[in-house]
Amino acid sequence: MNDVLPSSDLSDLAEIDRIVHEPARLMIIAVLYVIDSADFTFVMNQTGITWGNLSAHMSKLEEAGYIEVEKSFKGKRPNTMLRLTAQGRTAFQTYRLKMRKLLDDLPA
Amino acid sequence: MSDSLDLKDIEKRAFRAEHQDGLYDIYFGGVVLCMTILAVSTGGETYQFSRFVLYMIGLVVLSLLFQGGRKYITTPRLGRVKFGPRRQRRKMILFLVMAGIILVQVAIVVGTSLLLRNPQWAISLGLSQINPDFERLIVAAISALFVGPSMVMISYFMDFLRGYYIAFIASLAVFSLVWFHEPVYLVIAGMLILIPGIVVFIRFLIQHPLPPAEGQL
Repeated sequence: MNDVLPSSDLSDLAEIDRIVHEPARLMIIAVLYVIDSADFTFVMNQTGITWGNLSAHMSKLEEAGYIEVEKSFKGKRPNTMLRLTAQGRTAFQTYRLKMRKLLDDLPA
Repeated sequence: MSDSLDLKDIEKRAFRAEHQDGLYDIYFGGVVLCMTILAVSTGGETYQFSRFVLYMIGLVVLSLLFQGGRKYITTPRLGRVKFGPRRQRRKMILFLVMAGIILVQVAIVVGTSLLLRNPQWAISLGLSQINPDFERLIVAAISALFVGPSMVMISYFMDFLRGYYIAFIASLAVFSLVWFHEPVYLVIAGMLILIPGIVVFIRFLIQHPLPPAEGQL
């Protein structure tokens, strides 16, 4: 394995943010990264994640401080808007840089 | 494809999602059909004001239907989204470009009206010697240019791909109206924009059933 990936890069791999790395959460973060804010329905439509799964992933992202949730009412209907925090943006940017570096370092 | 390009693609897809409902097509198709009211010459000058009022009522009804459709049909199905500063900037540029286009159009209308009221100006500019057929061609082309570039700009800045088709059809309709003096071209163009819009709208309703409200989950 050492012939393929230097040990310093292997340690980089261990530092990958697992909150961001999970595919469903990565999709959610990518969508929220390119917009200002959106509600559950919009994120669900864009990612194809079911409501239940989305809710679970949102809780994890909120716990990590990566998204902020703003609850309000539109008429009589509850409406939850989701926004990536500055911390979330930084985490996503760092993740992208690390992944790019790791993948670029791999021999073809 | 590079990483940054992927993010741009995600943003573009998210933005274009707003045009999946076909409501813009229905609205613009309706506007072209409303223009037929102005183009019909039945009753001559007597009913000119009534036709204008009817046209304005048509536009107001269309706007209300469009807004209502967005609020009660599209948003509950697609969700709410606020785009970032890049889109806000594009919206502002579109506003400025449209303002510029409208200013040019107003200048052309005022200029034409001044030339019509002052034939000696037209003579001094050599415009009175233009062949009447050529003059009609110029008026038809300018009229089409009133519609086309505005719609192309809207389509470009709104990432609304079907808008280019609408721009082409609407320009052709206005050109034909002036050239042939037949309002039927506006009706055909209106239908050519409206019918695909209705098809897109029905497809949107089938593909996006109403999700349960947040409180019901």
